[in-house]
Amino acid sequence: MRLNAVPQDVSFSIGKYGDYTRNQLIEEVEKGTEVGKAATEMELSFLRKLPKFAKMIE
Amino acid sequence: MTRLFITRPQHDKGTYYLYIWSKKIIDSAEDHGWIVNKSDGPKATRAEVQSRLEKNSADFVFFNGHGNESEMSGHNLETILDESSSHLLKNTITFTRACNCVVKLGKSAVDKGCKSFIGYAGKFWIPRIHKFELTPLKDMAAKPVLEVSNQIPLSIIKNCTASEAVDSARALTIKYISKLILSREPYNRAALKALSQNDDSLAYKGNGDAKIG
Repeated sequence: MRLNAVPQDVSFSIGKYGDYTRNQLIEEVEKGTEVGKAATEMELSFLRKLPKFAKMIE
Repeated sequence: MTRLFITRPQHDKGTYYLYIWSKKIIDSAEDHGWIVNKSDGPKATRAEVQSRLEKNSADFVFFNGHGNESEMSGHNLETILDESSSHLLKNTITFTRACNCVVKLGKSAVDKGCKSFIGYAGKFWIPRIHKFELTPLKDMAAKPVLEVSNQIPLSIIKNCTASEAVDSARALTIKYISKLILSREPYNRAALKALSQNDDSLAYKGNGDAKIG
């Protein structure tokens, strides 16, 4: 899980769902909650766009 | 006179960041000679917001806080605007810096005469470094995300159209991603993910050519 690459002293504020540290987000992913699914989608979206980002910096 | 109406609840960490970062928008509007009408902190209630929208004909409405597809929230998550009151946005350009609102609230507002409704179709992510909790302007993880979303109201104030404002935010996203993706700074990884996700869900409904004046 690439969320592991985010420093431990970072949290994400996700609207009314609240604040999640890196480790809490990973737990949410493992539990399959709505926040966990959103975190997975964020990760996948980023990975899908990597080729586009690579072209941008060529 | 051109009027901005802005809500800035600050009852949790996320809304506190939005509160602080929105000051730049108030300053810019005042620098451009606009009248700024604020519902800050505990004043961001349904009664207060709806009364102000009814009494003062705002040209640009900027909501900060939490939301869902059909509702925008204010102080302590009180619903300040929903599909039953979206007619109050008639003749305005509106930007909701909140999760999901563009989906149903945006459609409803545009159906009732809102010129253009800009917002996010998905969740709005703000990365935060813990030690900057009380000094959000120094938070290097949050800065790219909040500068990109600030680009929308700043562009509207500079008389850009709604679609130009969205394009301007997307261009700044690309600029930041190009810079951050090559960085070895671990905090930038959090910013990159949030920038990418927020850009995916940024959208508008209504007239893309709408602008102030």
